[in-house]
Amino acid sequence: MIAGIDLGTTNSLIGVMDAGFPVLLADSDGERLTPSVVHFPQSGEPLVGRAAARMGTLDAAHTISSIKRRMGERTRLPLRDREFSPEEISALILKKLRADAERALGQTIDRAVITVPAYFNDAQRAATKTAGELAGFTVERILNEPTAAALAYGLDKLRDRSKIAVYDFGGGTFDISILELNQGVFQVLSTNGDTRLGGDDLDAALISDFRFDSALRPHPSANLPLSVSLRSAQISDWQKRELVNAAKHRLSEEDAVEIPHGADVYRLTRARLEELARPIIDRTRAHCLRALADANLAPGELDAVILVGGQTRMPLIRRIVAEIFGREPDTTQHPDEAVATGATLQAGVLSGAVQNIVLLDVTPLSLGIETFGGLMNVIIPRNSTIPLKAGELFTNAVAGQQAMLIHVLQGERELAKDNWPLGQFELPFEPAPKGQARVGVQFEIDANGILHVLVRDTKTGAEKKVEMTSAVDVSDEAVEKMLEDSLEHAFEDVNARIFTEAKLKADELIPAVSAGLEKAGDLLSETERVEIQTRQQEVESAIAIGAAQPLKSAIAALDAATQRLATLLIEKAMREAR
Amino acid sequence: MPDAFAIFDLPRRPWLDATALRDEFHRRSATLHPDAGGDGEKFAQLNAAHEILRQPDARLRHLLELEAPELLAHAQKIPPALADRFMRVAAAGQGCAAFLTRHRAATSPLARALLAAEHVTQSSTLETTLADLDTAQTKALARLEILDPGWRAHLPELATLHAELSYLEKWIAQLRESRLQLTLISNLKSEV
Repeated sequence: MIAGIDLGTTNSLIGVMDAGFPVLLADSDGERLTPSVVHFPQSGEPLVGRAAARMGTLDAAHTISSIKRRMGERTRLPLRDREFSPEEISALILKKLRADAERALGQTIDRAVITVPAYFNDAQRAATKTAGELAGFTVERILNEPTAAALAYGLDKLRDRSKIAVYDFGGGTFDISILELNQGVFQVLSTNGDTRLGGDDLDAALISDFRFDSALRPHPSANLPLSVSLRSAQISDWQKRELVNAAKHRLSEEDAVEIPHGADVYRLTRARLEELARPIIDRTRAHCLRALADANLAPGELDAVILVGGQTRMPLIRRIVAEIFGREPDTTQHPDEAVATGATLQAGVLSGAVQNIVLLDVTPLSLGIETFGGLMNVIIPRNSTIPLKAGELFTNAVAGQQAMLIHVLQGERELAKDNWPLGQFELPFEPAPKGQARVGVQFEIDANGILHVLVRDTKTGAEKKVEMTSAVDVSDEAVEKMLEDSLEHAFEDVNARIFTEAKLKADELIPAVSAGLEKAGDLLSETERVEIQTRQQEVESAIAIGAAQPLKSAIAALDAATQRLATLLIEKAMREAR
Repeated sequence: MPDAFAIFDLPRRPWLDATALRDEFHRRSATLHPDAGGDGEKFAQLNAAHEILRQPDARLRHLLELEAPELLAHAQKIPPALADRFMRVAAAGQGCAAFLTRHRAATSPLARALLAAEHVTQSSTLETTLADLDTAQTKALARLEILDPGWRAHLPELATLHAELSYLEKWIAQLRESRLQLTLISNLKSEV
C-alpha cells in the first residue's frame, strides 16, 4: 500500500486508497489536519502537530513552524543540544503522519507519494525526497500540488475534455498550473508560481500592523498609548501570530472581529485586512498571466479555475482571481484536503489500485548550463513534459584540453549568475586536436522533476551517472560576504543615507511636477495649484537646509498634493488614445 | 533523433491537425507512460516526438532534416518576405524595453502618471505589430496546408516556409513577453 501525503507549510495530511476511494486518515484526536509544527522539549522526544503548536505559545524559541519555506537550504537550526537540517524537521512531521496512519489502519506503511509546490526547484524537491526517506518511506513520487488538486477535481469527469487552471495559494507557497483533461489523461500545459508567497506573508503584514486596544475602555484621561505599547510588548510573536490568524480566518465570514487577550482586545476589520493583503495577493497576477501565455491560452478558453489552499477562503482572493481570469472561480474542492486527496489518488495509480488515469506533468523551470560569457544556455525549456531526456555534445575548445567544468543551472534569467545553481561536474576529454574530442551528456528529468546527469562514453557507448558537487557552498561564501558588507555599511550615518535617497526622489519629483502642471495644470482648481506650489517650495527649502526627516515629510506632502494631478494625467492619456 | 512521424505511425508530411495529434499523444500516453505500466524509454521517445510534431516550425525542420538536409543550411537568413517586418518588430520591441526601463526608474506616482500617454502609444504599436505577425503566421500555415498533399515537389518552398515560421514564432514570443510586461505595469488604479 502506498500513502499519499500533503506536506504543507501550515498543515499536513495523509491518505490511502480504500476500496477504490481516496480516504484521508485521522489522528488519535480524530483530526485529519496535522499542524506542521515541531516542538523540542527540555528532555524526551520532539512533539509534532497540535501538541507542538500548543507548546509554541509557551516556548516559541524551541518550536519550529513553516519549515517548508527553508527546504533546499543548506542551513542547520540549533535546537536544544543539537542542530537540525530542514529535511530532518520535515522528517519528524512525516514520521508522525506515518505513525497516525499505521495506527488507524493497523498495518505498516513504508511507501509514499509526497506533494511539493509545482514551482519547487531541483534542490527543494530532492530535500523533500530525503525527508521522506529519513521518515522511513520509499518515496514513490514527488508530486506537484496543483496537479494533485486537479486529479481530485477531475476524478468524476474522466470522460470530459476540458482546460482548467488550478490556483493554489497555501500557507507558504503559491502555484498556478494550467491543465488539459482528456479521457483520463491529465496533461499540465504550464505552471508558474512563487515558493515564498503565501498566507505567512499576510500574517507577517498583520503582525507588523499589530496593536492592542484596551478592553476595559479606561477613562479618556488615562495615558492610553503608553499602556497599549507596554502590553503589546509583553506578548510574543508566536501569540501575535495566533491572534492575527484567528482574526484572519473569522474575517472570511465576518466584517469585523474583536478577540480578547487578557485585559486587552485585538480588533481587526475586513477592510484593514484587505488593505494589507491586496499588494501581497496582487503578486499572483503576474504568475497567472505568464502561465496563460506559456499555455498559449486566453482566459476565456478555460473551462474552470479551481481554488485550493486554505487561504483561498478569503473573499479578497476570490475577487482578485475573478478579476484576473474574468470568471467566478470554482470552489467545489476542499481547500485544505484536495491536494492530499490527489496525492492519494496518484498513490493508487502507482500501486495499480486506480486505473485509467495518467498524469503528464512538466518541469517548472528551464534547465541549462553556463556558457561562454556567463550566459545561460537553455537545454530543457520550462514547461516541458516530464519524464524526458535531452542530449548535448561537448567538444574541446583547445588542443589537448583534459577536462571541462560544467555549471548546471535552473531558472529563466539570461545571465547565468541570476539563476539557481544546481551544481557542477567535470567532463574529461581524450587528448585530441581542437574540436576533435567529443563527449555526449544526457540531462534527464525524472517523473519527480529531479535532474540526473549521464555522461556517455564515446568508446563503449555506456552511460554513467555523474554526481554533481553542490554549488551551494560557493553561495554560502557569497552570503557571508554580503553580511560583512552590510555590517560595514551599518555604521554609516543613517541620516546621510536617508537624505541622499530622499534627495534622489525630489530630483525626480520636481521636474515631474513642472511637466505635469504644463500638461494638465489647467484642469486643476486655483486652490489645488497653489497647494502644489507651496508643497514644492517646502521640498526645495528642505533640500537647501539639508535635513533628512523634514525632506522626507515634504516629499510625502508633495506626493499627496499631486495625487489628483496624476489621476488627471492618466485620464487625459486614456481619452486621447481613443 | 529517430523519425518522429514513424513513432506516431504517421506518414512524413508538413501539415498536421493539432487536436488530432494531441488526442493521439494522450491515447498512447495512457498505456506507454511508466505510471500506467509502460516502458519509460518508449514514453520518452513519444514525448520527444510529440514535442517536435506539435510545433509547425520544429516539425518542418525535422521533415527537412530527414528529406533534404542540404536545404536547411541556407535557411538561416531572414526570408525577403519578412525583411520589412523585422525592422518593425525590432522597433516595437526596443521601444517597449526602453519605456519599461524608464517606467521602473520612476518612483513617484506623478512621474509614472506622466508616462501614461506613452504607455498607451507603446501598447498600441505592440498590438498592431503582433496582429500583423499573427496574420503572417496564419498565412504561412495556410500555405503549408495547401502544399501538404504533393509536398515532395515543393521542398525549396518548404525550406523558406520553415525559416518564416521559425522567425515568426520567435518574434511573436518576444512581443508577447513585452505585452505581458506592459500589462503588469498597467494597474492604473494602484498607481494613483
